[in-house]
Order: sequence, then structure tokens, then C-alpha cells
Amino acid sequence: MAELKDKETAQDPKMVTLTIDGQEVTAPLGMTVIEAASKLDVDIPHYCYHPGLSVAGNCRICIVELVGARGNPLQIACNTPVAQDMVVLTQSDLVKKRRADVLEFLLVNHPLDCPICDQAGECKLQTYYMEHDQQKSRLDVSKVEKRKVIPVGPRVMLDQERCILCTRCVRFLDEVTGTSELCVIHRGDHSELTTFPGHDVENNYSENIVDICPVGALTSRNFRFQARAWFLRGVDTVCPKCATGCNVRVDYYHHEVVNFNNGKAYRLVPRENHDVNGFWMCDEGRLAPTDVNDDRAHTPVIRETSEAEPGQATMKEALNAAIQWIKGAKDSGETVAGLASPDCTLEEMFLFRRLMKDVLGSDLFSLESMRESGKSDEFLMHAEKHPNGKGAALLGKGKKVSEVLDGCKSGKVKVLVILQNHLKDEKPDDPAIDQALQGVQKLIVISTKYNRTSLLSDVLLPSVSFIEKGGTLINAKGRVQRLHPGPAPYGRARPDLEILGALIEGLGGKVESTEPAKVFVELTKEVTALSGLTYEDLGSVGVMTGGDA
Amino acid sequence: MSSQQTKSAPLTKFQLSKESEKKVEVALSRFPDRRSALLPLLWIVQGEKGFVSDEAVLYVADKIGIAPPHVLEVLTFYTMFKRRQGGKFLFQVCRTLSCEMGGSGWVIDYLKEKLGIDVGEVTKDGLFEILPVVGLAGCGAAPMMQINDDYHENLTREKLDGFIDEIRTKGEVAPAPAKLYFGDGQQGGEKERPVTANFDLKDSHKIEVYEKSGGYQALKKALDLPADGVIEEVKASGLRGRGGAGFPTGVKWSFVPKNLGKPIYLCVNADESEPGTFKDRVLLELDPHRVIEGIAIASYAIGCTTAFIYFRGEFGPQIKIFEKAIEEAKARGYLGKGIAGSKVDLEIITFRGAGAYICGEETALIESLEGKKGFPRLKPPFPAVVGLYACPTIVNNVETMAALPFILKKGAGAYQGLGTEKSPGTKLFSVSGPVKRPGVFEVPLGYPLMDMIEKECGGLLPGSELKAVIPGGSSVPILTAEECQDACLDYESLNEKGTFLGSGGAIIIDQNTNMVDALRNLAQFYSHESCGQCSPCREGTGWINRILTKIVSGDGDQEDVDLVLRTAKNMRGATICPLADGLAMPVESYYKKFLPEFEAAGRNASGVEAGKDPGEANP
Ligand SMILES: Cc1cc2nc3c(=O)[nH]c(=O)nc-3n(C[C@H](O)[C@H](O)[C@H](O)COP(=O)(O)O)c2cc1C
Ligand code: SF4
Ligand code: SF4
Ligand code: SF4
Ligand code: FES
Repeated sequence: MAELKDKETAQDPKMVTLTIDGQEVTAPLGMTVIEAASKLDVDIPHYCYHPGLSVAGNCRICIVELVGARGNPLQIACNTPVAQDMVVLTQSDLVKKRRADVLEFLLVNHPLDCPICDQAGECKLQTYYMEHDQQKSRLDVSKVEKRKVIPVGPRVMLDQERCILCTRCVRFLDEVTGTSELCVIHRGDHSELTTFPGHDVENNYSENIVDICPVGALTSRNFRFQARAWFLRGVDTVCPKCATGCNVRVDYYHHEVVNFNNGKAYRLVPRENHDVNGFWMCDEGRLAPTDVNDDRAHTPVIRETSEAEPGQATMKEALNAAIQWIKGAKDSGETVAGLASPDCTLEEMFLFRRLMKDVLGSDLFSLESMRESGKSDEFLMHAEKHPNGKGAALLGKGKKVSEVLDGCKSGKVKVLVILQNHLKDEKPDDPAIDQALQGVQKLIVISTKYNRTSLLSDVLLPSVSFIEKGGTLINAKGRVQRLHPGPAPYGRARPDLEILGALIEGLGGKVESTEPAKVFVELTKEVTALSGLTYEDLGSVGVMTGGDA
Repeated sequence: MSSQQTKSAPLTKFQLSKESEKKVEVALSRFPDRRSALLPLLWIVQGEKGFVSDEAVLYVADKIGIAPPHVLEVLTFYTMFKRRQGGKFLFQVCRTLSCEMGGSGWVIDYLKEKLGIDVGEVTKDGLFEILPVVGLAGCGAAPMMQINDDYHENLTREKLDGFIDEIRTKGEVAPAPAKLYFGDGQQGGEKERPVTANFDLKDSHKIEVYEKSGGYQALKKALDLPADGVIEEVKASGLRGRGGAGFPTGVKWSFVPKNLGKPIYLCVNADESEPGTFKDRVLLELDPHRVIEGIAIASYAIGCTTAFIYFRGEFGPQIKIFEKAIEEAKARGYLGKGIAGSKVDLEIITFRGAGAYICGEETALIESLEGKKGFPRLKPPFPAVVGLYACPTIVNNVETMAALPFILKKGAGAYQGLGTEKSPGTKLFSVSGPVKRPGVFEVPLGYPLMDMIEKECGGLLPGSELKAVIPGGSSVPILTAEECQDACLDYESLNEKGTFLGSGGAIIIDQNTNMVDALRNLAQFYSHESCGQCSPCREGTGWINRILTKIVSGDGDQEDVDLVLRTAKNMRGATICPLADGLAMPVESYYKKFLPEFEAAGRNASGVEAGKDPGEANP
């Protein structure tokens, strides 16, 4: 059936059918063999080719055999256009031999640095070498010496000897950012990658060149020597640092043996999403590991009214304390107010709203934060620094933060519940905040952090960071995208949804589930822009919301 | 190394003289794309300052509107640009094969001793600097060098003493080029010489002389035909490109799509850098108008109104001659608006490279013209469709152009009547090595190689015995003396012998040259000239050079000898352009035909045979 369909499309003059390693594939004219192969999940080794950049065709590793071709049957897959009835072999003996030859050439001047190289474990030179050549180096002739450990910008380090001159980084800076800080000077085997003196690579996208460097020539000055790649595990998620919502993978430390570092985030790398970030992300977003690693609240805390010293507690004890206070306020007809923030997922906001509105009957709550807009650029970075402003707007942001603060200040509010809103940290010197916090009797904070805000709480309920949980965010363009849980919750922290669920139930409300997928379905029933969607529908690249959210 | 290098002054705001500024403005407005002015601007800066400083890079980047790294990469790619102050008189001694056979080793040693400096150093008075270079298109006059832009050939110790004295006393030195063409009636073969017909005439480079001999009549005839008619005529003549690849010229022209609504360009290749080749140089010096007339004919045929001629950077004197000829032709109405009384316009823009053999490859030439490094492009697309400024472009060799006036004037049939059936016409050969009269000769294709050596070149030098001939420039496989006996100089005959006609640069080798030394010399050239973009060529040419150097210096063993051949084979057909093959093919053929010499060299390490001093290849 599939074959029949292929044949039909092949009659479209712009489509051709070819065979790659015996598998038929239909591809539009103008497509290259390497692209057609990737449709079949046939991975042709490549260094210089990158789908987001122009074709350079210089590494020559992507060589394939064209059966029955006139002239040289060995051609590079990255620049050979597909043709009708073309027969391509990517694993023939001829191809394997050639690939091994190319590898040998690349290793001629390559230093034997693997044991001390950051790229070890994810180096494409190492990978292909293991797969193809594995001969001992016959080099007793001297290598060309170049410079090592050169900072080429605030975040990127260069080792010229490791560079295989694939020019991916050069093309990225020429074609994507247009900043052109790097170039290859001289020629022949004296060619080397460099900057112009005094003109560093300091644009906000500089770390992408570290990602796309197929070897260990460009390394991140933040990431260098921090972890060997094989102790890392990745989770696919969304960058929390602005409203663009770049698709990313977060690599975190993972060791089978219980390890103090387990769950620690090491770096963000972009995931391909053509509707959001292409293949790239900004350097500012790469700072997100601090959200996971720094000042994490790991233990619930209850500050007894009588004591100055806060006491550690179990999550159950802390929840109970919180529930008792809220209940007390509710039962005596006093106001409970709430502050969440657009850092929260849709599901968290949804349950937070249910808690405030439906369970406590309070409308003195806000989904806004006090964080100000920041810089944007003409590429990815958005001025709105929350990842889910659109989501908050879609659910209804509630009152303004200032209204909630005014209510607290006036003494009208007995208990204030704060969910992931770090207002005291964002505006440390704002007297309105101090006055408001002093005006309430009990402050309940659900937070990932030990920070100025959470340390003022009477009960601190530690929750998880963005890589430890599921849920959805809506980016500035209205695309709903999913987070995925990676490492286990830090310390005794629990997912925010679970905490909210416990509060709601403890206060007599009802929650069908605290699973993000199920909460999402609940909320699609109420939010028309999302109606009919399931969590699975969002896939790995998200879905546009109906209408402008 | 550069112990006497002058310390650069603290960086100040860069400024050029009024006169240079004016040149900069002219250069910037000269090309369809501003970036093409990059090499011209670097030449202007270097002309005034003697070198290109980092400040100058910023200035040039700003003028053109590109990022400084784009200037830096170009500056460092081309070997004629300097980043520091050098000697006022730069002695560029050619050390490529013909010259090494001719003794360039002693030239460098003698200069070093006489001037008291090492390579890369400048004499205390700032006057002299020695630079070994590769391939200057003076192979027929070995040993030779250029002092700044001027040729000084057939060097002897006395001549060198003379140059140095002249510079010290007068502050300048008169050029001393060799005679590379012999208009003394000793040319064998046919009487009809389509390309060199005027070489014997006095002042052959002047337009009056050219016109008097019937020059520019062919252009008028061509303009009376429809453009396609010209293409048909050239197709019928069987003319094949004389730059090396031998592609039929008329057929190539017919690939140009004329209906894209884009300009069509002709780029004439005067980059002549293939070791052993110096025919275009002689042609440009002795008959520039024939080339111009050819360019006008070709431009009309393909529909081009702006043609470029790309000279290798070392051709300073030839560019001057050519620009003068362009002025003359303009004054007579053969160039400019409505050429030769027609409605067709044509402008020819000269362009100077800056030291890069690879810029002879047609797409590298185009890149260079666009103000970039000479990186050959990936194909497809082909330049006939996507070439200069992404427009349809034809690249043709100088000699190919010079053959056109004859074809148009006398007809395809007359041209067909020369040469062989499959290789019609005549070809220029540049012959170098131990022959009595090295030089440039025009013979009909199919001419016997031995006749060329015996008749045109007057035979080998006394005491020389023929060992081998590289028939078509250094990149082609070699022929043994035995194979030479019945070899004929045409495309098919040489293909049958497993080699190529190439550029027609015939290098004669005698018993005094060891093939290991010869190969190392070539390896040095190719590794120096590899543009460096594809890994097999970048790493392979350098590796072969390093291993051969090790072998030649007596440290190699049999494993090294084998490694050279294996590496060459692995490079074959694996790269963007044929430069890598240009080393791989000689390696394979030298090994095949002169294996004992390589094996002997491999035994050196174990001390079985005494090593031969590589510097004494030709005492
Ligand atoms: C490495 C390399 C160097 C070349 N150098 C020259 C050259 O100096 N002059 C030239 O005319 N062609 C040279 N060629 C050939 C050109 O690519 C091109 O084929 C030629 O200019 C076309 O002109 P034709 O068809 O008139 O021969 C070179 C090719 C290669 C691969
Ligand atoms: S640094 Fe990396 S990406 Fe850049 S050219 Fe070298 S190998 Fe390629
Ligand atoms: S543009 Fe925004 S979402 Fe993308 S990486 Fe940067 S901060 Fe993160
Ligand atoms: S073969 Fe050599 S010269 Fe040609 S493109 Fe590749 S690296 Fe450059
Ligand atoms: S991936 Fe095709 S040549 Fe590098």
C-alpha cells in the first residue's frame, strides 16, 4: 500500500523515487541524498553537513556509492541531488573503505587528546573511528602544531589542533547570526580557525557553535571538565527563560550508584523545532541549570509561631500545618489570597485557580509576577522573560499583583499562598512587598528555592524544578509545548501539582488526578482554545492553540 | 626566525595617501559586486605601506562592508600579501621542479651567504629579503626568480652579484627576463601557426602591428554572424580548451542558458601556475591583442558584455602590457560601446590574483574574483549555469581565446586541417629541463614528442641522457624515455599512454634527477598549494610531503615508502577539485615506473645505501 502511494507521488514531476540500501524512498527534486536517507532513518556519517546550514562538502566522510553512475561512483551524499531510479549504497565495501580513508586523513594531524577531551563520549571523530577504522595510527611523522586552549569569547574555548576544519561554526556565524567572528586562515594543512584580534565571539548565540562542533575543538567554558558525557542523561523539555520557549534537552548527572550529584543539571542544548527555534537557542537560556542546581529547597519547613527557629518537617506535617491554617481562615470567614506566576505550567495554574476560586471562594489571587521585561533580539530571545505568559492570559490572570499586595497590607488577608512567585527576590527593595508580607498572618510558600521569598514563609513546601516535572507551557506565538520529567525530585521536594492536589483535597475540594496529562485533559474542557487536545497530541514539538490565545 | 623584523609601531588610525584613496574608490566602483574589490584594495594598501597591518584590515573591511575575519582569511590565503614589513627588494626564488633541476638550491644558498640573512629575514638596511616560492611560470629559464614584480632568469652567480650591486648603488634593478620564444625559423611542423603567427614580428604586442597582420578582422566577421553561428563555427573547428582539461570549447559555450535574465560572464584564465607551464605568459607578453580579439569573439558568442581576465598575482609585468593593449583596443573601438562598429558592447576588466595556484581552477578563480579565498566550489551547480555572482559564466584559458581569431577568420575547416582528426589545431607547449633551447613552441597536435625535443628544443644538453618526460604539466603521469620514443602530442595518443596533454607543460628529465627528489619537490608544491578545504587533500598532500621529506633526508624505511603510495591512492577521486589527484597521479606513476629508486631510498634508514644529498640533485 505504502509502495503504491510512493509510485503515485513519483508521477508528480517534482518527485522522484530512488533506492537507498535497498529501501525505496520518494523525495522532491532538489533534495540531497543525505536528506532523503534521513527520511528512511538511514544515518550517513557526516561532519560538515548540518541541516541548518549551507552545504560545504569539505569533510568527505558522507561518501556513498551510486550504482551504475557514469564517472566516479563515489559521491558525497550531502551535495548529490536525488534523481529518478538512483540506486544508493551507504554500506558497501567501497564506501566503508573510503570512509576509513577519510578518517585516517582526519586523524593525521589530530592530537591524541581523548582522555582529556571534553567531547570524549560524544565526539563524532571517536564514534566513526570506532565504527570504521580502528587501525593503530601509523604516524611516526611529526604533526602540524597549532594552538590549544584559546578563549575565543566569554563562553567558548577553542583548541585548534582538534579542529577538523568542517567550518560548521564559521557558517553558523556567517549565516545564522550574521556576526562572522570566526574564519579559517592560511591554507593547506596550516589552515586554522581563528578570530580577528580583539573581536571575540560574544553574541548571544555563541554556544550553539559548541553544540554543532562535531569534535572537541570548541567547548563551553561553563561546561568544560565538569562532567564526562557518559555520566549524563538527557530530558527533552522547553527552555524556561523566555516566552519563545525554545525546545531543549537538559543534560543532568546520572549515576547508577546513588550520587550526591545525581539530578544536577549540566547544560541545555537545543532540540530541533522548525516552528520555534530551528536548531538553535540563545546563550541566556543556557543559564537555566541554575534554576535546577542553585539554592534548592530540599526539605519542608514549618516555622512555629512561638519559635524563631524554623523546624524541618515531613511533607505530610508541613501540608497539614498549611491546611490547618487555611482552614482556620476559611472557617472564620477570613480571606485567603494567592500569588502564582507565569513560570508555572498551565496545569499548575489550573489547580491553583481551583484552589483559590472553587475551594476557598477567593478571587484575590493573581497569576502575574513582578519580574520585568528584559532584552529581546531580532532572533529568538523574547523580552517577556516568563515561559508561560500566554498560558496565564488564557486561563485569566486574575487580579493584579498590586491588588493582592494591597489586600494583604490592609490586614484583610489572613493567609497568603505563594506558588513559584519569587517576588521578594525580584524586587528586594520594594516596600509594598514587605508591608504586604508583614500584613498577613500566615505565609505558605510552594517553591523550588531557598530564597528571600521562601525564607519568610511560615510553611515552605519544596517543589520540583522544570526538569523534574511534566506539564505544558504556551509560548509567545501560542504554541502549547510539553515538559517532561527527567531526574527524580530533589531531596524531599514534590511536584507542584501533587502539593496543590493535597491542599485542595485537604480543604474538602476534589481533584481527579495530579498527573499532568490528566490535569491537561481537565483543563481542555474549560479552555476553549485548547478544547479537544490531549497531552499526547502535543508530541515533541507542540501544537498551536486555536485562535490567538 | 624573523629576528630582524621591525617592531610594528603602536596602532594608530589607519590612513592612506590621497592618491591611494582615489584608487580605492575606483576599485570599489569597478565591479558588479563591491566585495570583488577586496584583493584590489589589499594590493593598493600593500603598494603604499609595503604590508597589510591589522589596522589596514579594519580599514578594508569597513570600506567594503564585510566583517574583519573575511578580510583576514583572504589576506592569509594568498601568499603574496604580507602582514609585516619585509625587505624593499624581495628575491622570490622559484624552487619548483624545473627550477630545482636547474639549481634553485644553490641560488638560495648563495643569496643567503652573500646577504647574510636566512629565509624570512630582512637585511639590516631593510633592502633585501629572500623567499623561496613555488612555480613562477619561468620554468624554461631555470633557475629563475622575481625581484618584486620583475623577472630575472637563467640565473648565474655573476648575475646575482650584479643585481645586488645595482640595488645597493642605484636603488633599483632592471628586469632580466629570458627569451622563451625563438622566432628564428627553427620551428618545425606546419607553416601555419594560428596562435604564434606574430611572435616573430617586431613590437608584436602593439595594436598597429596586430592590425597590419590582419588583426581584428575575425572579430568583424564574427559580429556579422548570429551569436549561435559563432558557437557552431567553434564547435565545428574541434577546438578544445587549452587550460588543461581539454573540454570542447564550443560545446561548453552552448551550455550557457541565455534566457535567465541575468548577465552572462566570461572569465579568462591567465592564472598559469601549473609547474612546467609558461606558454600563456609568453602569449600575453608577445600578442595580447590576439587574446583580446578572442575574448571579444567569445563574449559575443555567449552574450557577455563584461569579461574578466584573471592574472596570477606574479604576472605584474604582463598585466601592465595587457592593460596597455586594452587601452589601445578601446581607442580603436574594438572594446567599449558598440565594438567594431556593431551594436554589441564589451568591457574587459583585469584582475590580479595574489599567489595561489588553486585559483587556476575555474570555480576557485570565480571565488577569488568575488573577493574570497580561492576555494573550488562544489559541483553541481556548474559555473556555466551558476558562476560569477551566481550568473552563468564561462571560464576559458588564454590560449583558447588566442586560437579563436584564426578559426573565425580562416574558418573551422582550416583549423581542422591542422593537427589530427580527433585533436584538431595547434597547441602551445612550454618545454623545460635539460634541453638546449627550453621555451614555448606551437606545433600541430599529434606532433611527435621526440621531434619536439630534438628539433624545436635542439636536443638535450651535452652529457644529458633522457630519463623521462612529464608531458602536460606537473599534475599528469610521467612517461619513461622508452615510452617517449613513439609518443605523440595530442589528447588521444597521450591518453593511450596513460597520461594527459594537460596544459602542454613538458618537463624533460635526465639521468641527473632522482625521482624521489622530484616527487618530494612536487609534494612540497601541492601541499603548499592545497586550498585546505577538503580533508583528504589538506591532510594527504601535507602528509605525503612530510613522509617524502623524511625519506629524502635518509630517515625513511620501506614502510614509509609504502605509506606514500597508499596515501596517494586513498586521496584519488575523493576531493572537491582535482588538485589532490594532481599529486596522487604523479605518485602512482613514478612508483610504477621508477620503483627501484624509491626502494633504494627506503633502505637508507638502515644505512644499506648512502643517502644522496637532496640539495645536490643537479650539481
Ligand atoms: C588545480 C587546477 C589548476 C588549474 N590551473 C589552470 C590555469 O592556471 N590556467 C587554466 O587555464 N586552467 C587551469 N585549470 C583548468 C581550469 O579549471 C579550467 O578547466 C580552464 O580554465 C578552462 O578553460 P579551457 O576550457 O579554455 O581550457 C586548472 C585546474 C585545476 C584543477
Ligand atoms: S571548531 Fe569545530 S565546528 Fe568549527 S571548524 Fe573546527 S571542527 Fe568544525
Ligand atoms: S530565546 Fe528564550 S527560550 Fe530560547 S533559549 Fe533563549 S531564553 Fe530560552
Ligand atoms: S582537492 Fe585540495 S585544492 Fe581542491 S578543493 Fe580540495 S583541498 Fe582544495
Ligand atoms: S558531510 Fe558531506 S562532505 Fe562533509
